[in-house]
Amino acid sequence: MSLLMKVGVVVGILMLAIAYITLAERRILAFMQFRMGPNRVGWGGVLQPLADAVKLLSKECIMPEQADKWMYRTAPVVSMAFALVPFAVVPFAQAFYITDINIGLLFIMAMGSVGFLGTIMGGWSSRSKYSFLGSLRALALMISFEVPMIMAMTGVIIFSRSLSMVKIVEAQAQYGWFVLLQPLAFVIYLLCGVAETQRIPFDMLEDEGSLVCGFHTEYSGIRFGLFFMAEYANMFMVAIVATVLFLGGWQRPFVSWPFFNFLSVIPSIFWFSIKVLALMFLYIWLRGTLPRVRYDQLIYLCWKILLPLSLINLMLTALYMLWGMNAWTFLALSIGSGLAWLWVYDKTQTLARSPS
Amino acid sequence: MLADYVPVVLLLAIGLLIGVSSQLIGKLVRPDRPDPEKLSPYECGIEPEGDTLSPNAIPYYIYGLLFLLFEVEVLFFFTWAAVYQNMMLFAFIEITFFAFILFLGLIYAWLKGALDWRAG
Repeated sequence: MSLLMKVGVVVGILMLAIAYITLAERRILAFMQFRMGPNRVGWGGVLQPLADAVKLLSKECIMPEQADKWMYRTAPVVSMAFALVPFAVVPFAQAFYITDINIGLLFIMAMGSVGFLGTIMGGWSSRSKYSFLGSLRALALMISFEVPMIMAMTGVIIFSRSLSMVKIVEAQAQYGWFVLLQPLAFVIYLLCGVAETQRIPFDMLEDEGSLVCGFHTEYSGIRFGLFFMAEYANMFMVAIVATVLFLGGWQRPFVSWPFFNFLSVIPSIFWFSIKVLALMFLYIWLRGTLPRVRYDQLIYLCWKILLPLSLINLMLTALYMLWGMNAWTFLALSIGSGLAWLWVYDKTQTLARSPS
Repeated sequence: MLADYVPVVLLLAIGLLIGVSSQLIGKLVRPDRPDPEKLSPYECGIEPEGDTLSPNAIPYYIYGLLFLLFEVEVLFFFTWAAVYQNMMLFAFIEITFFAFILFLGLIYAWLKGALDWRAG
């Protein structure tokens, strides 16, 4: 396939997926809350995303008088563009990727950080108190989740010996899914991923209880729509990175056992999409279940629990590679040390809280 | 090598195009009827009060400093991890010192109370 065709296919499917994941989210959340959700437009609501798009496009875009005009207009574009770029390096199926750059993972992380700038720009340029507080919280969010997230990825890179997304997937044919070798890192990544996508329980930057809508309070119409699309594209990206790093990408389950070779008749794109969709469902499920945390609580979680845990995980992985210890011992060690750190942390908290 | 990045630029261009064109196309179909009430910053229906960009205490300031520090160190981990299997023992000893000092720094900041929340 030529490059242009590949890009077209990926962008097209991505847009469709974003449109329908919004519908899926509203329906699933509705069922979790004993409601029906949107079911009027089309057959059972299948045309709802189209209606939403038309509505957003035809709504008045109000810009506050004192806003920094050009920054205000640019912010959603920055969010959207840099949410789209990382899809260039994703291996969607066996031998189907737009490009394979050798620093793929680093590139994805970098683009994610630039995308965050869009959020901060939007909140800052609106010149509204709520937006401003929202962008301050966005910054707090960013400085807390990023370090443990990257540290958690490092364990995987030790095994795969490369930052290229394609090579990481291929390495899992040899070792099996990395979630089995890196359970701690997987959990850390998922938690940080929720923070990166700015969703409940870590969506304090658009906390409707105290900040109206946070950084996009002043955005309406299609400009809000762009932020919205960027959020869902980011969600897909986080699910995809988790799939590629920990769940074997497009590889079938039991990939290192020849006994299950018959599973290979199912095309690899199926395995990839089912894993990504399962993770997306997990995120929607979290939104339906958990309450929001305060942002100092998030900072504590990231710096006092996740960061030491990811360091421990990294050192254990290095040891495992050096000694070649039994995989089960390694698994037990990493889970055990994780629990041990939680216990120690809990003790320090109890000591701090007890009256002296 | 550099040719690998052409699709990246292409995708960036598409993203920018989506962002810009949707705002421009929207301009053709959407109404534009501003009035002073609409254009004032939203404050739950009451008149906005004071300057919106008033000075604001950032209680996580020290976290910001630590973040800069750790983010740079983490990049070092990335490159180290990619070559780890080629230089096992040497790399392990080196990273043990590195991570130990890093961890010590974190513990130091922790004991000094830098990781505790202070209302500004």
